[in-house]
Amino acid sequence: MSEGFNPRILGIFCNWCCYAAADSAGVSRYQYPPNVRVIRVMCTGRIDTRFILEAFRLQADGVFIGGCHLGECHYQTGNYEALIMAELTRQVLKDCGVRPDRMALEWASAAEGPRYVELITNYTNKIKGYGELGSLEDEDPKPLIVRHLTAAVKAAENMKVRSAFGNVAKKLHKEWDYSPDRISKEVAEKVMPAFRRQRLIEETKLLVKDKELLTNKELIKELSISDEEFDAIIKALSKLKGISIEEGIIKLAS
Amino acid sequence: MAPKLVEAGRSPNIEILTNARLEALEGKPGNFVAKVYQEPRYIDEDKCTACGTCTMYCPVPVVDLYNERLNVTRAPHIDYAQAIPSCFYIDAKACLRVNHEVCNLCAQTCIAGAIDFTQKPKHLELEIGAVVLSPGFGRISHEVLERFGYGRYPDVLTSMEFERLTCASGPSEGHIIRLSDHKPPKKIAFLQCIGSRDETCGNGYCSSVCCMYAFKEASVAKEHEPDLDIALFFMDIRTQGKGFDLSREQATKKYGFRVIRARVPKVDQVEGKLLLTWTEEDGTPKSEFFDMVVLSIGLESPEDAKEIAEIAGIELNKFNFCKTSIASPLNTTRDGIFVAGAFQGPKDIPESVTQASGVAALASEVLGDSRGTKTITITYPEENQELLKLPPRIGVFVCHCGVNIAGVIDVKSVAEYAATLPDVVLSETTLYSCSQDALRTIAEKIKENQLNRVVIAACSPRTHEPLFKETLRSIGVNAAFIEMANIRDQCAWVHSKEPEAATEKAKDLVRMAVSKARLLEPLYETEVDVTPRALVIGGGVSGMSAAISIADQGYECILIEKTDTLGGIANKLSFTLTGEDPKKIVKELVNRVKKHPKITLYTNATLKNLSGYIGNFISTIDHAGEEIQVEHGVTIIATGGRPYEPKDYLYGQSNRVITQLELEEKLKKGKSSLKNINTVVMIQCVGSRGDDQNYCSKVCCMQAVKNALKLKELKPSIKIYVFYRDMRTYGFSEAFYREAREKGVIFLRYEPDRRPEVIKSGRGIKVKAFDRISQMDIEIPASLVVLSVGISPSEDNDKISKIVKTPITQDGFFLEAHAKLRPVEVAVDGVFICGLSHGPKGIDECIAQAKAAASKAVIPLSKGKVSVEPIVSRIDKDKCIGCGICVSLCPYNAIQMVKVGKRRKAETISASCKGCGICASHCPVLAISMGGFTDEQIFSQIHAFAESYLGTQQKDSQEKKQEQEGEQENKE
Repeated sequence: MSEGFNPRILGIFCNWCCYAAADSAGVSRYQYPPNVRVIRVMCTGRIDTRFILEAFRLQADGVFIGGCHLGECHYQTGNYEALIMAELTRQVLKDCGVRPDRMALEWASAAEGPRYVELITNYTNKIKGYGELGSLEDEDPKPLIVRHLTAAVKAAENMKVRSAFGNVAKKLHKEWDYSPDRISKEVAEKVMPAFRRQRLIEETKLLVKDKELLTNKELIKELSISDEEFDAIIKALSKLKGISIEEGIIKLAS
Repeated sequence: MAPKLVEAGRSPNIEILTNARLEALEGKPGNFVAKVYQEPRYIDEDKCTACGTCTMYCPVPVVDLYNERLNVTRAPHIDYAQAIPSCFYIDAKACLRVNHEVCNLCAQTCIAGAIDFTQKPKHLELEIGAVVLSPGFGRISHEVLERFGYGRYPDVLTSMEFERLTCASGPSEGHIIRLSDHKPPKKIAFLQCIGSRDETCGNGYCSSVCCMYAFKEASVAKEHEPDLDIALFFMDIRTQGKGFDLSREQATKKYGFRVIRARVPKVDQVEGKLLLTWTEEDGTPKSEFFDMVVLSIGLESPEDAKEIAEIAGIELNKFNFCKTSIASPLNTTRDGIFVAGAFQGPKDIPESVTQASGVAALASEVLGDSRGTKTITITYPEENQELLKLPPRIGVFVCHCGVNIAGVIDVKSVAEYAATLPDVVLSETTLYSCSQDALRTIAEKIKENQLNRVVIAACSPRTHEPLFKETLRSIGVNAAFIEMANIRDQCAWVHSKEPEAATEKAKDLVRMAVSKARLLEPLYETEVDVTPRALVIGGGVSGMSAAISIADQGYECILIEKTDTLGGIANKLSFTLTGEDPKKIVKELVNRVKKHPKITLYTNATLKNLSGYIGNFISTIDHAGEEIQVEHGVTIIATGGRPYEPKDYLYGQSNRVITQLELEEKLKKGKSSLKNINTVVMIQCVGSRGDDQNYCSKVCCMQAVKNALKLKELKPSIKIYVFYRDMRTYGFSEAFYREAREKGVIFLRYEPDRRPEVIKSGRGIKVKAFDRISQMDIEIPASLVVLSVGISPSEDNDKISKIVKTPITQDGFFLEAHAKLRPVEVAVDGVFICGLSHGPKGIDECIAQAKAAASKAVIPLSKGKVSVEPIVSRIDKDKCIGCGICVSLCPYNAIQMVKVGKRRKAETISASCKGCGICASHCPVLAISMGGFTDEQIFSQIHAFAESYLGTQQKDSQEKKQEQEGEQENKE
């Protein structure tokens, strides 16, 4: 990536551990790159996938989530819940053409100023290496990413999608199984299908609204999805209020 | 430790005198006069901002004692960043100004003007009602350490030094290096029992904590350097604390530690390497080179223990620790003077914290009559309602923090920039915004300009937000109307070489703070009345002790016991190691419970149901078949435990196989009970440590030693063999273990995969076991086999855990809220645990813990109200669909389902909510909002973040709509 690229990184840190670690790094005057802007929350369990998607929608180059080490959460289980939220976010990002590891989820205890510095420095350097959002080979171009994510943020508000996510969290909490494989599997099987569908519905609505009178073919190309998936989206859309499909062309009621 | 420091530092009712020592203590309980001598800090606590400039400019290097002399600091310094008071102090012995009237550099460079050489030593006379001694522990002498090459060989370290090396903020920034060549070691050996279990240095006791901390330090080292080869040398592995065995086993497996059973007598150095020589259990001599040797030093009595004892008029035990008894583990020999922590005996953090709470209860018992007479309560003026009606009027104060911020960031340009942001009506810089005069100025500006939102761009909200909130409240502004931008700790200090980038970042942070500030809403601390009564579940030693303490502190207490007799498991004990009579201890407690006017006792009573929350519980109790309802503000669980029932070793099949408790019952009858008994074999860990139950029961080793000594006392000719895995006679009990060996009791170690077997042999029985010394199977014909059975959790724990909705561990004991910081609290507020319900432990530890639970329980009772932090969750019932996801994820059971009409709706129990926000991020319909951290506020921060590069046009339509609505409302 070009010299002098200064990535825009949003940090969301929990009050008790990572934010405290960042303070402690300051007290010891450790130096690290000045790219991260931090939002303080009480617990990583508070962080909604929408916050991260919104930051990427607004073209952040990276989002760094910092919490307490597992087992040390000030609220007992918040960081375990964050594991699931982060996995969902990663899968959504991937689905929206963003390299998932542009979002990081790391732990640093209040006493681990140096660890925080190491984490944030390495992370910043990694994102520097990646370049701007949308500039990696396996990423979509930025305007496309923004459109995907605009739809994704909307999808993340959807009740069905959120219920699916909440139920996975509930299930894993009950079984107390937070192994990465299990989380990944549950999210992929139980949340992502609904999420992707909803995202495509929202994105179709956006496309129709912006460009009007797109043919199905054009839509399929824009969304880069299969015919079968498109059929399913159309079917779902046809049930929504305020949308009519006339002669294969989707129209939004004014 | 930080949370405890902060709490102590902030309490208006705790006055901290540093650099101070007790000189005399006269008077009696309730009416002491303490003479205290206090040396000056030479830095004014009110003015010091802990910026560290004085340390930078001071020319006098001094050894950094906090970092175990591995580092150098300067005469003015602070031991560590989180220290309380968060104020530097000057090492008077080293300071040029103090000693020679020259230099004064620090005073000249301190912009806050905090350095004050006019300070003089003070003689204080304090009128007090009770005294707590908690001087901690002392260090093992150099002489002992020198035996292991310490001082001669630089790579022989104490465990304290090693701890500093592994600490990220320590002298080597967390890199483990050899002090000889600053290279990382490849092989490290930990030697245990340095200055512990060692008669030659007068320390015939076990320090109780070193085994566990050695594993901790070794684990930390392996995390830093995965290739390290670590060997640990033990006599016995004494990791008897709750959950310790499990962590030790996991760590040993994960990191591949070599655990060697040997006491290494000395350390040699050969060609720059450290040579250890030892003898294996079977007698084979071994030797090996290491790059570094860590001495796991024990806990000695404080250096000034004798002086303290003399001044306070208390007695010490033979090891110079404070003398206490099993029945009163926290009382010194002088009334009204209590003891907590390592001075009472070597102990780990959980037990120390427990004892600390326990002594608070004892002090509160003494001070009960004068409760509230000297406490400081802060009152605030009524809130200015006019301000709330105005649209946001934001004042931004950008702090110089002396040169700490202004030396890097262009604070003036930040303030100018802030003035251009929407709704900002005032933007200024301040020199030290946290100083008293600046706070006054800020308060005046708020009034003058009718500010209803304040943004302070300075240091961390974690440390300073409470101070600014306090300022707002003091002038009738809601405390929630503050937002801080952390431009010091997370900006100026960490980007000091990039002033321009730091200034840009500061502007971004201020903009983000302003955008959140615009959406701040007033939050109100709600208060809930407390029913001034406690319910104690379980009438054993712990439950009775807790009930008596609560009643002695002046509050009503209901004690329920499921059987018809008080006393619990302690009724089965007949002796103690120290000679105190357990029957007498129980009897006294029973008498006090029965006579106490404030205690209502129900025997044959069990808990059927419990509803409500802290301050307002309602319990249904089954009292001999009849249901009664009681209202209480707090609950203490003291359900006790029961002896494990052995399944093997011919128990129940041969009357020659009995348990230790059964032996004790037999021994009560005296010598006659030992006719025909010539050989006794004791087997340890029956049912414990992975036999059937996974944990160490903590008391069985002591019990075996106790009964072995009793047998020897009654019949000196008797032969006693004890098969054990690790003799865990921790603390002062070690002396009795030694006594038993001296009296001829033979202790033989076994490994769990080769347990001793009890087999029938004609009409008698014999014990077959593998002898690790001769490496052969041996058979011992026994007249009696005594099984040291562990402690099982009460069979009621599971049921009560479900009723109270607080978790139990895999082992079946109640899970504490935090092992170290909150050892007697549980996940549910207002519920406390003590005694065997928490885990196996001896009587003295049960009593100390019962006092601790009573102490914690009395806090809400004495306050009469529980105040609820305003950052709790709020559920919009109109939106709620009653899915219950929030209920199942809440770590505090702070959300309940209620019926609204025909539908189920979630409702926050504000008194139980801690404000984590898990519910809000998981609500399918976004019906939950978090006070101070609403979705809108967080989104506004994200949008403000993006504004730096996208400009202001990027807001989504939704937010714009909200803003328009907001503006309209404001106009209306």
